[in-house]
Amino acid sequence: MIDYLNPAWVYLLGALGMPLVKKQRAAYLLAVPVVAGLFWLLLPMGNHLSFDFMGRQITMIRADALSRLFGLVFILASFAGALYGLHEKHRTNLWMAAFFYVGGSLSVVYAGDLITLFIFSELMAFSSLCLIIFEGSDKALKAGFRYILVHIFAGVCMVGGIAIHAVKTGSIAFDGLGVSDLGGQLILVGFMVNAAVPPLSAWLSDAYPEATIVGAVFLSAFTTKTAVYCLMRGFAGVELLAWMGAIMTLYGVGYAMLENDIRRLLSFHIISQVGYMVAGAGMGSHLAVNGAGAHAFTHILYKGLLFMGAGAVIHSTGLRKQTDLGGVYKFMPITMTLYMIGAFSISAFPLFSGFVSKSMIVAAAEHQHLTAIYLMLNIASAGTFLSVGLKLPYYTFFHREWRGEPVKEAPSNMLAAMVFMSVLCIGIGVFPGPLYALLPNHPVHFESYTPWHVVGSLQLLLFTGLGFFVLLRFLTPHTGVSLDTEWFYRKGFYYVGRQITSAVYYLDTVMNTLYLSGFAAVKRISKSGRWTDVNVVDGAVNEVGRFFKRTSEDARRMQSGLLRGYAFTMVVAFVLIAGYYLFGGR
Amino acid sequence: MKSDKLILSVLEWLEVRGLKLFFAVLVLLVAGDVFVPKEEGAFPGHTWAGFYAFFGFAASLLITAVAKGLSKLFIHKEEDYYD
Amino acid sequence: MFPLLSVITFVPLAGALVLLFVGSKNENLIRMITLATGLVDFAFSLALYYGFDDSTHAMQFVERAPWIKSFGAEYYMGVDGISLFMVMLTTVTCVVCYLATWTAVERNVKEFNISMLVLQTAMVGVFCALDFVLFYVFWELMLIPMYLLIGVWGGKNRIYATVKFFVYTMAGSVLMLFAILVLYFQYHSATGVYTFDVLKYHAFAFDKNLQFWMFLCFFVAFAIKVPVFPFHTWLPDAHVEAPTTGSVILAGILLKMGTYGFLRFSLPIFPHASLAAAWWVSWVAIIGIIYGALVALAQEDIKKLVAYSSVSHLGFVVLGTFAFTLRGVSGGIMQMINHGVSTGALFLIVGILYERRHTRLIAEYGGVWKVMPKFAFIFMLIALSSIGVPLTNGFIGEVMILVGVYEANAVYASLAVVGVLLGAAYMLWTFKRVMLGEITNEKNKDLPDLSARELAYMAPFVILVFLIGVYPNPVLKKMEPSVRNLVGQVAKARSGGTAVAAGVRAPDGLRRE
Repeated sequence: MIDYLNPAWVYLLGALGMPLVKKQRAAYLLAVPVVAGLFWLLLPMGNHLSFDFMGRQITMIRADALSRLFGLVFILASFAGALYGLHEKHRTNLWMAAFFYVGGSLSVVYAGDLITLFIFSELMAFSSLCLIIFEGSDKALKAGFRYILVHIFAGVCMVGGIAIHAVKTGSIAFDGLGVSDLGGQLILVGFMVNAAVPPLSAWLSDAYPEATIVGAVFLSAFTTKTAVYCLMRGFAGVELLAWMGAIMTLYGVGYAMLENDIRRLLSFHIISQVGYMVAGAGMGSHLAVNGAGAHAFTHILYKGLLFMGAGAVIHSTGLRKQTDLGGVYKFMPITMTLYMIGAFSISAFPLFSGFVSKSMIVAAAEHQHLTAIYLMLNIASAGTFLSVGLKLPYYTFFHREWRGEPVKEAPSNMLAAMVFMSVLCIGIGVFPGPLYALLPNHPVHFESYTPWHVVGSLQLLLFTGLGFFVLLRFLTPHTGVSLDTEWFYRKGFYYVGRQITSAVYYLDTVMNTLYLSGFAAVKRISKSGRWTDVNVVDGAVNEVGRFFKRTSEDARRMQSGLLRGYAFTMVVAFVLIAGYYLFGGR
Repeated sequence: MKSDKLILSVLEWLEVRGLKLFFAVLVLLVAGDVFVPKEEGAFPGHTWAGFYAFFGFAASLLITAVAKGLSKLFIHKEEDYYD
Repeated sequence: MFPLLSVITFVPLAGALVLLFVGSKNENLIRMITLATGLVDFAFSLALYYGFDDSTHAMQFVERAPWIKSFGAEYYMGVDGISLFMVMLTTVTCVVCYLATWTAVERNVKEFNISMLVLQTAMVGVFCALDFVLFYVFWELMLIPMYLLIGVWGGKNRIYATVKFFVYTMAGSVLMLFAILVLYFQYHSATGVYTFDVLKYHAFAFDKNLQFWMFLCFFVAFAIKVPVFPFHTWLPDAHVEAPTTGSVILAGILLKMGTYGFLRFSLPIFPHASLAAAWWVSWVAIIGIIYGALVALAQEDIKKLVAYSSVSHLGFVVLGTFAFTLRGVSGGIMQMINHGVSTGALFLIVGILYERRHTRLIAEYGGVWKVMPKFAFIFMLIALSSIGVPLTNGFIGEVMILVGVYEANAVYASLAVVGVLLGAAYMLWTFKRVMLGEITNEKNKDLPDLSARELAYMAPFVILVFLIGVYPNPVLKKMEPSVRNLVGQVAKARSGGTAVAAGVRAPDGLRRE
C-alpha cells in the first residue's frame, strides 16, 4: 500500500476534485501539498508500480535520492504558491491547471521510464499553457500560442528520440542515456528546450511575464527544474551541457541587464540560474551534480520568492515596468524586505541559501580546472547581483518619489507565502546540513562556510555593488524590447526578404535556429499553395469535368441527366463484356 | 503596521549611515583578505588579497559595457517592434 | 452458419426499403427508423467484433456462394484484422450521423435518410467484399447516394462540387475496372480458371511488368479516393458544399476506402510493383502531408481547413503503409480508425457551429468558449486528438507510423515529423481564433451551448479518443495477424524478386518488439 503513495497523485486527484470543493477551497488548496508532503515522507525508496505495456516495462514510480530531492522542493513550492494565491481561490480553472501542472512535474520526477516521463511532460506543457492564457489579455493569448508550439516541438523531439532509443536499445528505462545515437540526442534536445537553453530559450522570456500573477510563481518553479532533473538523470557528464550552461548564465544575465519589465527580467534570470544547474549536470562530478541538485532546490525557493515579490508589486500598483515604478518602498516595505531576501539569496550572499548551493557548482568547476567555465560562472554571479539585487529593487522600490495614488501593501496571504519562502532561504543558508543530506551523491564533504569563501564572495558581491553606484547613470531602464532568438519565428523571414532587396546585412543570422519557419512566412507560402491548388491543379480537372459534362449532355439526347448517362454507360460496358464472353473467343 | 514602521526606520537609519558603513565594509574585506587562509583554486592570481574585489568590480563594468554595447548595436528595439 | 456479414451489410438496405413505405410527412418517424436501423447494425457489428478470432490472419465470417456462374463471379464476403475495423468504424460513424442530422436536414427527409442507409450498405459491402465484381458493385453503389447527398442537400455551390467529386471518382473507377478485367483474363490464361476471387489473386504471382501497369491503374483509383496529392482538389469543395453528415461520412469512411484499397489490393496482389513504387509513393505522401498542412494554415473557412488537414493526415497513413513494416502498416490502420474518429468529430463540431451561425468563416467567430464552455471542452479534446497528444488515439497511430517509417527510411520519418508540427500549429491556431479571446462579433453573444442530443452524438467519438488512446491493445492485437501476413507477402516478393526499391531498408516488421 505504501508503495503507491506517489505525491504526484495527490495533486492530480486534487485537480480533478477541485470543482467539487467550493466552500472549503482555501483549506483544500493548502491541504493538498501537506498530504503530498506526507506521501513524500512515507513513500519507500525503489521502483514501484511496474507493469508491462505493449511489450515495454513501465515503471511509474521510482523513488531515489534525486527524485526525492526534487519532490520535496516541488511540494514546498506548491504550498507556498497555494498560500500566495489564496486571494484568487475561487478561480477553479486556474487551480485545476496549477495542480495538474504540479502533479505532472512530480510524476516526471518520479518516473522510472521514458514513456511515463513523456506523457506527463505533455500534461505539464498543456497545463502550464493554461496558467499563461488565463491571464486573459490578448498578449497572453499570443504568447501562450507561441509557448505551446515550442513545447510541442520539444515533445516531438522527445518522443522521436524515445522511440528511436527504444528501438535501438530495447529498453525505455529512464537512466543515463547516451548521446552517441540519434535517439539520445533528440531526447537531449527536448530536455534542453524545456530547460530553456539558448537558442531555444525565448519561449520563457516571452511567455512567463504575460502569465497570471499566481501562475507565474508556479511556472518559475516547475518546467525548467523538471528539465534540469531530466538532464541530471539522463545526461550527467555530457560536456556540451557544461559549456551551454556557462553560456546560459551570461546570456540570461546580459538580457536581464537590459530589461525593463520586472517579470521578464526575473525570467531571464531563470535562464541564468538554470545555466548553473545545467553546467553542474554537464560537469558530471559528484560535487557538480550535487551542486546542481542543491541549486535547483534553493533556486525554486528564492526564485519563487522573487516572483512573488514582483507579482505583489504588480498586484498592488498595476504596473510592471521599471520606467513606471519607483518609490514603492514607502507603501510596500514588507514586500521590499522579503524581495531583498530573495535577491540576496540569488546573489549567493553568505547566510542565504544561494550561497551554499551555487558555491558547490563553482567549486566543482575549480576542482576540474575548467577555468573558462569558472570565469563565466563568476562573472554571471556579479551580473546577477547587479540586475536582480541592485538594479531591479532600486528602480522598483526606490529611485524617486512614487507618482500616483498611494498603493496598499500586498494582501496578507501573499506576505505569509513570502515569509514562508524567506524563512526557508535563510534557514538553508544558515543550516545547509539538512539540504546536503538530501543530495544524491552521499556523503557530501563540502564546506561552504570557509573563511576564504565567505570573504571572497562578499568581496565579489560588494564590489559589484560599488560598480553599480559608479555606473548608475548607465543603468537607467528604457522601454523597448530586446531581440532574442524568437525574432526568427516572429519576424525573421519577412525581414530577410527586405534585407536582400535593400542590401543591408546584419549578423543576426549567425544563430540559425531550427524553427520550421516564421509563422508569417508560412502563411505566405501556404497562401501561394492555395493559388496553385485552385488555379493549376483544379483548372486541369475542371477542363476534364467540363468535357464530361458536354459529353453527357450529348448523351442526353438518348437519356436525360448525368446519372442516367452513367448508368447507361455501365450497362453498355457490361453488355459489351458479356457479349465478348458469350460470343467472342473463349 | 509595526513591521512597516520597523523597516522604514531601518531604511532611514541606512540612508544616513549607509554609505559610510558600506565603504568601511569594503575596506575591511580587502584588508581581511590578507589574513584569510587560501585554498586551492582554478584561477591564476586568486590568492592575491582583494582579488575577488577587483574581479567583482571589473565584472560589473564588463557586463554593463557588453550588455549596453550590444543593446545599442542591434538588440534594442522599440516596444511595438513585433506588432 | 449465421451470415453475420450479409446481415450487417444489408440491414441498412432493409431499413431503406421500410422507409419507402413510410409517408414523407412523418419526419420524426423516418429519423427514428433510420436511427434504429443504425443501432441494430451497430449491435450486429459488435457481435462481429467480439466474435473475431485474433489468432489467425485468415478471413473470418466467410460467406461464399456462386453468383454469376458464367463469369466466375461469386458472392464472397469475409473480414480480417484489416477490414474488421473499417466495418466497425462504419457502423459507429453512421449511428453518430443519424443522430446528428436530426435537425440539420429539413426538406426531403425521407429521400435523405434512404440515401444514407443505402450508402451505409454500400460502404460495409466495400469492406467485406472478397470478389472483385462484388467489390466493384459496392464501390460504384457508393457514388450515387453520395452524389445525391451533396447535390441535393448541400450548400450554394453544390452542383459544381458534386459533379467534380463524381467525375474524379468515376475516372479512377474506370481505370480500376479496366485493371480488374486485365487481371481476370490474365489469371484465366495462366490457370484456365475464370474467377474474381481476390484471395486467389493475392496468391498468384502476376508477371512483374504487368504488375507495374496494373498497380498504376489501381493506384490512380485509390489515390483519388484517399486523396493523395495532386489528386486531392475535389475534396475541399466536396466537404465545403456537403451537409454536415455528408462530410462526416466522406471524411470518416469514404476516404478510408482508398487506403483500404492499398492494403487489400495493391500490396498483396502487386507486391513487386509496390516495392518498386514505394519510393515515389512515399514522396508523394510526404508532399501531401506538408502541402496539406501548409494550405490548411492559409484557410479562412473551417471546413476547408479540416478538409486539407485530412489530406495531410491521410498522407501519414499512405506513408506508413508503404513503409512495409509491421509498425508502419499497423500504425496506418490505426490512424485510419483515428482519423475517422477525430476528423469525423471535427466536422460535427463545424456542423454545430454552422447550425447556429450559418457561417464557416473563422473570422466570424472568436471568444466562443465564453458562451459555449461544454462545446469548447469537447472541441479542445478533439483538437488534441487530431494533433496526436499522448493519451489520445492520435498519439498511438502517429508514433507507430513514425517509428515504422523510420525503420524503413529515416529521411521520410524526419520530413513527416514536420507535418506533425504543422498540424499542431494550424489546429491550435484555429482553436484559438474560433474559441479563445474576446467575443468580437455581436452575433456570437447568445449562442446556445450543446444540447443533450448534441452531447449524445459527440460522446461516442470522445469516448473512442480516450479508449483507444489509453488502451489500444485490443485493437492492435486484433489486427496483428493480418498485418503480419500482409507485410510477409511484400517481404517475400522482396527476397524472391529482383525489384527492390531504392531507399527502402529491409523491414524488421517480422521481429516481435
